[in-house]
Amino acid sequence: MADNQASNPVSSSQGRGGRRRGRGGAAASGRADSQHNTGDGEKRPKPRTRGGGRGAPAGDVGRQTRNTDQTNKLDTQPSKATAPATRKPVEAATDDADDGEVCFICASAVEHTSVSPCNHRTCHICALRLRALYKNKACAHCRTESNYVIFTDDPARRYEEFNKKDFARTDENLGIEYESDEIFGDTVLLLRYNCPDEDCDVACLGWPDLHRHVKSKHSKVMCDLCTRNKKVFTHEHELFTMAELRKHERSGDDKPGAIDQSGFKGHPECGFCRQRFYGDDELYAHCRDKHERCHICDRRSSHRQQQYYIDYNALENHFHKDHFACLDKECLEKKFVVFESQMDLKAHQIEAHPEGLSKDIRRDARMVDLAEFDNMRAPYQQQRQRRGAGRGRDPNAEPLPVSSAQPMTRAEVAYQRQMAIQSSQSVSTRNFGGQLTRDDVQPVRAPERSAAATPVQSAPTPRSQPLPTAAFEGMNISANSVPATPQDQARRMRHEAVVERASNLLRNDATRLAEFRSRVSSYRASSISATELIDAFFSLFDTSSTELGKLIKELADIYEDESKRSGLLQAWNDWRAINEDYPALPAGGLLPGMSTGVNTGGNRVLRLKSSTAKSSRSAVGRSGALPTASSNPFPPLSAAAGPSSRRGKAPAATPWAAAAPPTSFSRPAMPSPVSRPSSAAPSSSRTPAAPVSRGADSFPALPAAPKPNVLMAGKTRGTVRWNDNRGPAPNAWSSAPSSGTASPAEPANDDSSNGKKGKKNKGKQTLFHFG
Amino acid sequence: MGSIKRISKELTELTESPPEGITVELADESNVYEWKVIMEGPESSPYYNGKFLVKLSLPTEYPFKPPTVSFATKIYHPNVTNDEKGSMCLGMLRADEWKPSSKIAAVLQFARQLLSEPMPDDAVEGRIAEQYKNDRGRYEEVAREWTRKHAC
Repeated sequence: MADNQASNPVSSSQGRGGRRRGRGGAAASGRADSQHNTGDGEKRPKPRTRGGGRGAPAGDVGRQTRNTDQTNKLDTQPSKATAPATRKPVEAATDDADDGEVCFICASAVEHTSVSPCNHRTCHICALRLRALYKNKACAHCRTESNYVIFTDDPARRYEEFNKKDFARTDENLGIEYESDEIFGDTVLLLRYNCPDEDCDVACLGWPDLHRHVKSKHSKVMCDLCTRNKKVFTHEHELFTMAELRKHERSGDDKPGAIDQSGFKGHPECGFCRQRFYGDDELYAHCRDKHERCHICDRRSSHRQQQYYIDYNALENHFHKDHFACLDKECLEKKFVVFESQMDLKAHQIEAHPEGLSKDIRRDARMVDLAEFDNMRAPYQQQRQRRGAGRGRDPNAEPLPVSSAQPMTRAEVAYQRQMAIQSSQSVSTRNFGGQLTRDDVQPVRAPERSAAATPVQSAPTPRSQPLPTAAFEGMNISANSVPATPQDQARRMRHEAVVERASNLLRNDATRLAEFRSRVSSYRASSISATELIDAFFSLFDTSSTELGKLIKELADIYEDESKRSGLLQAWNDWRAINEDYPALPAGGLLPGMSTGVNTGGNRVLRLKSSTAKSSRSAVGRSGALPTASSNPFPPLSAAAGPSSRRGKAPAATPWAAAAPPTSFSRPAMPSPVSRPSSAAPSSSRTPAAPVSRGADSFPALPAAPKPNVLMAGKTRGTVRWNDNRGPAPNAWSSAPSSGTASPAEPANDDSSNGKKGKKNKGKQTLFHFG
Repeated sequence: MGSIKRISKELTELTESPPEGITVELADESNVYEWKVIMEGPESSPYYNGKFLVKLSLPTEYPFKPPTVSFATKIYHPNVTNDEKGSMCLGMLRADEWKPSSKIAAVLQFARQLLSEPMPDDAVEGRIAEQYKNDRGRYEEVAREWTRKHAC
């Protein structure tokens, strides 16, 4: 039985098994069942690997083999020889099963089954993904929400047939009942802060720790935005060199035609704030919340390119310049009282601001009145004129007098038009001309659509009065381009702003403000380091790191000494990288249920890395995608070759040795071949571009004994000690918050709302559309 | 992220046994997330004889996030936006209705079904929906003409 259990994961992972077969199969659990594995591998894999599609089916067969190990052995051994030939039938026969060996959802082998009260089954990884990462308790098949699902190894038992006493453990946060400690162990394993490096089995204590580990041990970095937002397990993240990270942020892996791309186009940047966001939805949310759009322009042009303004001031300027804003004080305060045409504005004024206004305003109104009157009439006259022409009148003739319905004589009309001209001139100079400070207007191209939208930022003109904060930030960005004012005036203003911010943060506590000043000047005098300064700030200010970050950035801007400035920023970034809080994943440094001993532990982590298979686009997956490849047991091999070779039909056509080794080969001890971390920072040794070299040496390296963790212990606190496995089982989730203040950013949840872009806008439109 | 596996599997299935009137291929062979689908107008519809190019794009989170479907060929239909995007609004693709178990084949079949039976109550083109409801003859005429003009 033990054997049975142990082998289950392996045998069930046929897809992977199939690929592994080349290496002799059972590297991972290389025990007595290796034979079984191999046989198994040969037989079942087919559905998945080559079939790709066909795979699902494996159910029937899979189940059988699984339940009765004997059958399995009997069956599989003979089939070894005839592997290629027998495959087809198997494939076909298993076409319609949907449970059992291959998870319906992820098409990967089922290691443990998750059963929900609706009795739908998925693999435990999919279930965990939904519950832990997507925070979604709905069934993947039918969307029925369930408080608990069961993780079991029994392929057929129904939910209601389980009793409380069948469960070895219960995780109340995730809502999972575990049938055995082993399953629990495998599950918690996924939730740890595992290092994404394929060959590293270190689990860290939290994000900061993992970042440090990755940096010190592998000289790599992880994408901050991805680690915060991407719904993947920790070890599924990618490692980058700095250069790769920059590329990842800027342009993603979008290389048309390249084999290792996912179409990810980088993290879009807000052109105003120079801040990148995880995706278009997040950027959209940011722009929606932090910047402004003109509802009139949006309505007029149905273009997809939205134009953004950095703040309401900028938008207001645009209103004054290009539209008809109501200049009434109240309306200005109310904001967004602006109209598409003067006629609409007039209508609004008559309705909302009748008599009873101050003298000044009344005078304005009167003048506008006239102007507007003329405006109203103009189209009408033109129309008449045209009509007149149609009737054969001289088109050049004076427009007809207003029809009798208009109680106005020609003389009146003339007078009014004259007045209108005058008044409109005066109105425009007074009301528009004076406000045409376009400096703040920084139209940005809609970020939603074009990831590359980088608006040109003009320098906001510093004004003499204290600036509103929003304008300030703009200023920092482009401070050096302030042309108009003397340098020192600008600097003084920045000083003031910094001091003001600081004193706000300190709630005007004079003593502490004084200390703040002294710290800052001792940094300038180089008597303390930037790091010390930041530490001092933390003890001084009782505020969020975001606020502090703003202060520090503003402060850094003041320093004229470049080294001071960059030193401070650098120190701040370091601080953030280390201490800032990331979405909490269960820490679970101590793994219970890992009774399998020290060695297995390492293997397990590595195996799991492959089993959750980063959707590496490596050839593997792709070749599966090519229908014709189905008859080829190892289509992935040809990664390096063009598409045509990937389609090669005869297995013979894929020379194992010559073809680029399937990625799985390079990975020791992993049941699932499918994937290698996709574009993931091709580490020097395994650049996707040069798969061949990879294969050759990594092949033999198979059973990679877990690294001696001892080595790591000194360097990273995150080191796992496998022999601790009997330690208290921390609840995966509850222990998570230990990583800090835990504010898991979950921007992706905005999806639905973001999707409806027009919405908010529409609101605005109707609100102000009086005409 | 088993997405590649799952997508490959579905692509294989769809290629090997395509649903009626639907053929799929990758827009770019190296990228399984973008599909090109040729959808034939169903016989019972005014789109009959038309071949519509439909773009299906899958998020990297697939199947946990829904794909999106858009018509690259212009089509006169209440549920397809009449702009350069040609977005098709399918209930089952809404983020809150999507089930990871839904298959691309089902999505495509559903989309094609929508060609035979538009759902004017969920329309994105209100005017066409009105016409569909009140003046079916005229709607069919225009739809046929557009099909002839753009999809043949």
